[in-house]
Amino acid sequence: MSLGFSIKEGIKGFGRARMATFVTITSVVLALIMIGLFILLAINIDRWVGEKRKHLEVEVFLEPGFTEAQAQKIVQKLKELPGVRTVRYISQEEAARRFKKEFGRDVQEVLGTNPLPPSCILRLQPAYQNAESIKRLSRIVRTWDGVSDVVYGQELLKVIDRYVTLIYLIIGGLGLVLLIVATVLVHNAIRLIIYARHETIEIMKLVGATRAFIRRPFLVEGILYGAIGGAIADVVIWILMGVMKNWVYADIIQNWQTYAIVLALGILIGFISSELSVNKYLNKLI
Amino acid sequence: MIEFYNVSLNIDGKAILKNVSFRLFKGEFAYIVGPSGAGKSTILRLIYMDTFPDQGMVIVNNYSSAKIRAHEIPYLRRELGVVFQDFKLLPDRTVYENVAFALRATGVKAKEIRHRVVRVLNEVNVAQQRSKLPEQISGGERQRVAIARAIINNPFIVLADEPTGNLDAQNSREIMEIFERINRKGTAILMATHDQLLIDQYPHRVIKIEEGRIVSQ
Repeated sequence: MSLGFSIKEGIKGFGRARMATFVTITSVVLALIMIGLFILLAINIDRWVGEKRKHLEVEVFLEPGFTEAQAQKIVQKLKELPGVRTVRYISQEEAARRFKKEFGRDVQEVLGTNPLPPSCILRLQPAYQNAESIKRLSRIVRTWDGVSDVVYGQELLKVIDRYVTLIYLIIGGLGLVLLIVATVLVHNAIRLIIYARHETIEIMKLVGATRAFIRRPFLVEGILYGAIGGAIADVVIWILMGVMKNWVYADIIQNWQTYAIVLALGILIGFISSELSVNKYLNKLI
Repeated sequence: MIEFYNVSLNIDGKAILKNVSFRLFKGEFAYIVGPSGAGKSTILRLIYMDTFPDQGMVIVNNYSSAKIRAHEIPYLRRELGVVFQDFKLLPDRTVYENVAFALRATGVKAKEIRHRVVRVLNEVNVAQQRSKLPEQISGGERQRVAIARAIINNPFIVLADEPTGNLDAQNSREIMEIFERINRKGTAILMATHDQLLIDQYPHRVIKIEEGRIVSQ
């Protein structure tokens, strides 16, 4: 059967009810813009969190007066712990240099002695860059002889672990709601279109058109709603991102995949909603 | 080729057909007559399987109402043509497109469509009106277009439900002449009507139905 005929019929149908078409596409565009922005927000939060976790350091302080040889033993033990990516040893002298760099004062001159203890700075593998893993690691290391304290950004980690998941869930939930709303809107539009063309469908049935043939123009129409809505939403998001980069925050990232997802979601919404409406109508008839 | 075996049908608790049995043979012309609501249109609907009997069985060529599957119904309908009192033409398509639509919907190639549509429009004398919309032509011409659409797939039978009901006497006669011509070429005609004058002018077998029962045939 001619696919060309179905596509032509779908496009014709698309132009028939202009007001309904305009309202439906506008709703789809608005929903997809929100979804696109949510995706970009999630990507940016994810990058920010990733950066924070990547630069997360755990500092293991050793007893002052520890010899280099004793310290190296600790370094070796730390390297053998699961999840530890790198270990850097900071001697008392280096600690004093870092202090001077950071605060502009020589600790030796101020206090007449160097009270800063030697330490080891650990960087962890990505899977271990969370509060729970670090807490476990810190509990183990604290029991070792010669270790006086273990310090890391507990508060930041707690915030990240607790709120970021919540933010993702909220974004995902809102995105899902918007997807459903957009699908219902297109579904209703197609239902009205089908109702307006029930005579055509009746005649198609009468002359022996198959169910697939009757459905196809409506599917084309639904997909067109979604694709045009998706394309317009992409353009609007692109403009909005440009404005935000120039006026709000230059480091905002975006990627082509987001635009592809918005377009694909538009097409999917159009397809699913028209498929639902046509099937519902045809099931009543045949 | 069309057989009704003890067909009964209820709609919304009301008995529309009661134990109806008859046969229609190849190339036959028959009328179904009876008052409004007697069940004439329902018999036609049962033949093109728009509805199914509660009891009994309808056989149309090789298809049985008891065994046919939903996906087979379109193929049954391609073997028959249906004409209605209200023409059922698509108002936004030309005469040519209305007839071509029946072929497009069944997947016939574009080249063949043109050839067949022109031939059939000539056959029912509306070729001159092919570029006009249904609202731009007369009732008689609309019914000719509907007949053209019904016969374009070379059906073995044309089912006509009060085809002259909306036409004046002159147009009714012209439409009947077309049905006669189609029948002479070997296509069976089963026409639901209550126009006794036409039946007298074009006599054929009459299946009389009253309150859902066949009272004579």
